[in-house]
This record gives sequence, structure tokens and C-alpha cells, in this order.
Amino acid sequence: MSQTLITAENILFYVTVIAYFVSTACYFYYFAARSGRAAQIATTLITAGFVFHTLSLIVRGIGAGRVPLSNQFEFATAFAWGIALCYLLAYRKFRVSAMGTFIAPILFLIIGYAAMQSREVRDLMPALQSNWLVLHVSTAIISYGSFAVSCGISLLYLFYDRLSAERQSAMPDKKKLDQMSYRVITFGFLFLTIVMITGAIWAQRAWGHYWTWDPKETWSFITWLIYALYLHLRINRHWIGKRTAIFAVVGFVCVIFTFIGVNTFIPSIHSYA
Amino acid sequence: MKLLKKIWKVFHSMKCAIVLLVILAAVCVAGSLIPQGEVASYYMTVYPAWAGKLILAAGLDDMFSAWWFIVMAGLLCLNLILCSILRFPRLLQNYREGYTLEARRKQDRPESWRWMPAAETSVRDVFLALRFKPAVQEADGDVWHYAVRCRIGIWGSWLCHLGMIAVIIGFGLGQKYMLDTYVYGVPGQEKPVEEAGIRVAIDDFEVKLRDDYTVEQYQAKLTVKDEKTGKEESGTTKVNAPFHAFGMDFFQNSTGWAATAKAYKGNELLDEQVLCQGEFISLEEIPLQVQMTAFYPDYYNDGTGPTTLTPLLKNPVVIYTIYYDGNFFQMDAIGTGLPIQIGDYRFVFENPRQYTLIQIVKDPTMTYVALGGILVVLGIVLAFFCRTEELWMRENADGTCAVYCRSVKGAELFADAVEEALRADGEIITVWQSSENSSTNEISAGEKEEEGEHVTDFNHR
Ligand code: HEM
Repeated sequence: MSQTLITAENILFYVTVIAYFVSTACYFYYFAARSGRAAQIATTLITAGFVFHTLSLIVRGIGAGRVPLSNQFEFATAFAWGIALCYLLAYRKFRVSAMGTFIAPILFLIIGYAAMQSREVRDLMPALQSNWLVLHVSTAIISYGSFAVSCGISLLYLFYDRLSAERQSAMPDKKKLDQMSYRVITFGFLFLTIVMITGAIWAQRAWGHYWTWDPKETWSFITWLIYALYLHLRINRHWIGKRTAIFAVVGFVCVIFTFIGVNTFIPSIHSYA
Repeated sequence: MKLLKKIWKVFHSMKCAIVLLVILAAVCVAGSLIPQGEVASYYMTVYPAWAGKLILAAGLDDMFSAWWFIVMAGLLCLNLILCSILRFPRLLQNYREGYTLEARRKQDRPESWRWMPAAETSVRDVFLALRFKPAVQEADGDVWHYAVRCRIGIWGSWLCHLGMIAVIIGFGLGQKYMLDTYVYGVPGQEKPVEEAGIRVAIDDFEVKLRDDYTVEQYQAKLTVKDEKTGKEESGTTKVNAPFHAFGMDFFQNSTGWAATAKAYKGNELLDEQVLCQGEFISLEEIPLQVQMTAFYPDYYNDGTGPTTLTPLLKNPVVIYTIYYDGNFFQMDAIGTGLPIQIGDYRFVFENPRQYTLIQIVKDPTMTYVALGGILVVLGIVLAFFCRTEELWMRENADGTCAVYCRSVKGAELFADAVEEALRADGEIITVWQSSENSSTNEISAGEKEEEGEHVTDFNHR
């Protein structure tokens, strides 16, 4: 990768980190001081951050000569990109700024994690040279991004009763928040299913077995089960509202563990990622 | 009889499914934290004695093949099959007859408004704005407009379950009946694979290196011969691009170093073999064995232990171990081509090269599992992205309309969209209190159990 491209990618990446950080601060300020202006600035900043973020990924892709979705830094930065994308889509659909107060910090934490990883562009080992891997990670980004957004909406739900009546009236009611979170989860669930299928196809082609209960596979299956349970409990046990909100948060904790925890704590064939 | 009925009820209930899914998730957590497939002594040394014993006794060391895990997966599958069979006629009936104006007129629970269209607006406009195609019907002297969209969506969960059944059964049978074996060797060797009824000749093997010595690709050229028919097929296998022949897949799995080991007595050649790392050459006349323990192509040792500087054959050195009568005798390093003298006997390692390990897999159920996976995705798409939604209106004599809407998934959000469309095209005069049950399950109407007594536990919505 040429020095110019490395510099360009670095600048774009750090501008993104700063934009997300300031946006998070603005969302907090909006929430604490009820400043509609701060919310507007925060949304603009997240949008701008998203544009810079996209550019940084494109520059990295050009420099590396491949889709930049193949090591832990690239997964992490793409995960953050997925959260920003899903948040902006959810914002367009639901127009609820208060979601941002809970989603922007998650976004900032993930991009902060990315910033701590090695940014070196390395050539890929043979097992990673696969279009299925690209599809696998791309769908994972959307799925994880959706779960982050549903987690943010659910946190807002859990916080809702502590807000003054006036603030509550400026937001969708709890029932709608619950349904928003549910819809975003259904989106994430669809993508998580595709993630597991594309991952299985990749594993089959690279290692000869599509499913070997490797810890990373097992944890993505556990995450999938948690969200499947969420969907069934909603129907069968009338688990809507607080309990499903807690479930959505737990589900996202599982997502994070699958993404970071498994690589850190459990040896796995995915560990080289 | 009562007990049987109870058991039957439990087995096809969603409650049972929930319990099974919770247990499955919990055991998967255990299975991911406890390393799988290690030798028994590993668990006894790494864990406290009682925990090690427990792990081994409960089969937690190979959990995903333990009998109780298979029984659990079987129960989940049975649960899914029963639930799917029982739901099918109800879904079909509901699909055919459930979405009609007649059925909805009797229902007083959905979201509803009294609405006055703006002068230039027709009822039809609101339907169209919400992407519904209304049908006009007269009933009891009133004019009604009714539309339903994505009726097909009610099949989503059913299809998803069908896919899961295929995946679970396919995966289980695959584990049991799959052919999974391997063969390894250096170019020029041909080896039989008895369980597959084939012979595999390794015609060529290449490790492509980049300038920085990282591996770009491993590539083996193979000729596979069917022992029965004598037919041959040749091809190349690379990582991520297996070679397919005779219904089997040949995967480039791994590699290592091999060398030709020669044993002499004086100048007489006693034996010559290709040894891969870890293998032995043995003599017949005395119980002497020499193992090619390790190999370093570009040997370097600064006192901290042997290593290789590059993957190139610049300074090839074999670490060998000698056993006499089964007992360790000597271990040392020697350059290739140099003799190891033991009494009258002499051993030489020559012609070092890389061997390839080819994994051979034939999984007869993979197609069904793949089909199941597609059904699961299709089912999820139908269930959540083809949401069945209904809208109907009655034109009142005073020019107002009674407007109703109903959706099983995200009813509030759908009602919001309807309300927005109504406001855009007229005035809402009254909002009738929507009941908690506005999202009544679409299948509940026809979902009474055969005996007509109780309602199955998955129709409470
Ligand atoms: C891992 C296995 C399973 C998966 C992936 C799965 C998936 C799904 C999905 C995606 C839905 C739609 C949810 C919604 O409409 O909100 C659903 C609904 C449902 N599931 Fe499952 N399911 C599984 C196991 C089971 C089992 C074992 C049963 C056994 C009774 C079951 C019974 C039901 C029922 C009754 C519904 C409600 C259908 C409806 O109201 O439309 N599920 N399932």
C-alpha cells in the first residue's frame, strides 16, 4: 500500500473517530439539556462521520487491492460502519433522535476498539482468499449493526420511565419503541441467518466441513438461538416490553462476545482473524 | 390416557420448544468453554479432579456427539415436526378463508378511526397511498372497501420450521454417514484409500510463496482412480477450491516436510522410504528405529532452540530420534545427505520436499442441509418482510368512513402509517381506542384443538 494511501486512510479514519466522538457528546448533551439543536448537530456529525468512514474503507480497499474485510481491524471498523449505517437507516425510518444517545456510544466504543488494533495491511493467507468470506463478513456487519441499533432502542426503552412526562411526549411511546426494536431485530436475525449460511459455505470450501462446532461458530449459533428465543417468547409468553428489551440487550452482549470475546478468550480456527 | 394427552400436548407445544432452545443455548455455552476432543488426561490435569471426572463422565469432552446432545436435537426436531404438521391445515384454512371482509367485519378489536376524507380525495386514494388494492363490496346495505397484502407471509414461520427440520436431520445423518478421511504424500506417490474405494496419485504439489515468504496458495495436482471401474479423473485442488471427483471432494488441507530416508549396512542399501515429519524407518534385522522428528529448511539455532530463517531449502536440517528396542536412545540434528552412523548401520536423509495432506469428504446429506438453509432464509423473509396487513373501510351515509387496520407484526407501526395516510388525505374525527389485542394472531380463529376444549399455547396473540 503506497504511503499516500496510508496517510489518506489514516486521516479519514481519525476524522471519522473524532466525528463519532463529538456526535456521541452532542447526543448526551441533547439528552441531558433537551437541546434539539444538539440532536441536529449530532445527527449531522454521525452522517458526516459515516461518509468519511466509507471513504476510509474505500481507500483501504484500493490500497490493499481487495475488499478490506479480512482481519480484526477491518472487521471492527466495518462493524462500526454497519452500526452507523443501520442507525442512519433506522433514523430515516423512525425519526427518533433519542435513539442516538444510546447507539452513538456503542458506535464509538466499537470504532475505539478498531483504533486499538493493528492497521497493517497484510496479504491474505490462502484460507481467507474467498468471496464467501467477503459475503460472510458483509452480512455480519449489517446483522451486528442492526442488533446494536435494537440494543440502543431497548436501552432507551428501559430508560423511558425515568424521563419526565414532557420528554416522554416528545418521543414515541413505549409500545412503539418495543415494536421498533422488534422490527430491527427481525432484520438482524435475517442477516445473522445469512451470515451463518455463508460462513458454513466458506468453511466447507476451505476446511471440508461446513459446521464443526468451533467456538466462534458455536457462539454465533448461541446468539442466533437467543434471538430465535426472543421471537418465540414474544409470541408465546407475551414477552413484550421490559423483558424483551432486556433480551435485546443480552443478545447484543452475545454479539460482542462472539465478535471480540471468542477471539480473546477461546482458541478457535477463527482466531487468526 | 390423560397422561398421554398431556405428553402429546407438551411435545407439540411452543413452550417445549422454548425450554429446549434455552437448554440448547446453555449447553452450547458449556461446549464452547470446555475444549472439545482432547485426551482424557488433559481434562484431569487442567481441571480439578472432580470437574475432570464430571466432564469425562457426562461426555462434555465431546459434547456435540454425546448421546444426550443428539437426543436433545432429536426432541427439538420432533417438536418442530409435530408443530408443523398440526399447524399446516389451520394455516391453509386461514390462508384460504381467513382474510375476507366477512371475517373482519365480525371483529371489533383492530385499530380503528372515524375519518372524513378531504373533498378531492376518494377512499381508494388512501388505499393506493398505502400500496393496497381495495375491492369494493356491499354487505348489509353498506359499502365496504377491503384489502389485504402479503397474505403469503403467514407461511413464513412454517417454512422456516420446515427448513430447520431439514437442517437438523440432514446435519445429524451427515455426521453419521459422511465419508471423512485423508491421504498424504509427496509428488510421485500413489496411495490407496480403501474406505473410499479409490487410489490417489499426487502428481504435483506446489507452495506458492510471496516475496516476503508468506504463503499465497497451496496447490496439489491429483489423479484419482476408481478401484472398481478403473476410471480416472485428474484435477487440481487449492485452499478454498476443492477438486471434485467420483462424488467426493478433495481438499488441500495441510502440508509439512518429508525426506527420503535410506538405511545401509556397510554399503548395502537395506531400505528406502519417504518419511513425513513424525514417521519412522525401522530395520528388520535389529529392533532399531529412526524417526524424522522435525525438519528445518533454513536451520538456525542461537541456543534458544531450533528455528528456520526462511521457508527455502537453504540449510536443510533434520531433527531425528533413535529408538532401540522401543526405548529412546538418542536425539540430534543432522544436515540432509550426511550420515548417521549407529554401529554397523548408517542412515541418511535425502531429497527434502514438502508433502501434502489431502482431506477426502463425501457428505451425502449436504444438499438437503443447503436446501433447508434456503428454506429457513425464505421463511424468515416471508415472516418478517412480507408482513400480512389488512385495511378496510365502511362508507357511512354522512360522508365519513369507519377505517380499520390490522397487522400481526408491528401493529402499532402499521397503524401509525395508516393514520399518517388518513391525515394526509382528510380529517380524523374519532380515534377508537385500540384494544390490547389488536395484534391478534392471524391463525387464532381456526386454531382450536380438535377436541375443541383448549386452545394450543401458541395462539394467544
Ligand atoms: C431453532 C429453531 C427454530 C427457529 C429458527 C424458528 C423460527 C421461527 C420464526 C422465524 C418464527 C416467526 C416469528 C414471528 O412471527 O415473530 C417462528 C414462529 C413460531 N415458531 Fe418457531 N422456530 C424454531 C423452533 C420452533 C419450535 C421447536 C416450535 C415448536 C412448537 C416452534 C413454534 C413456532 C410457532 C408456533 C410460531 C408462531 C407462528 C406464528 O404465529 O406465525 N418454533 N419460529
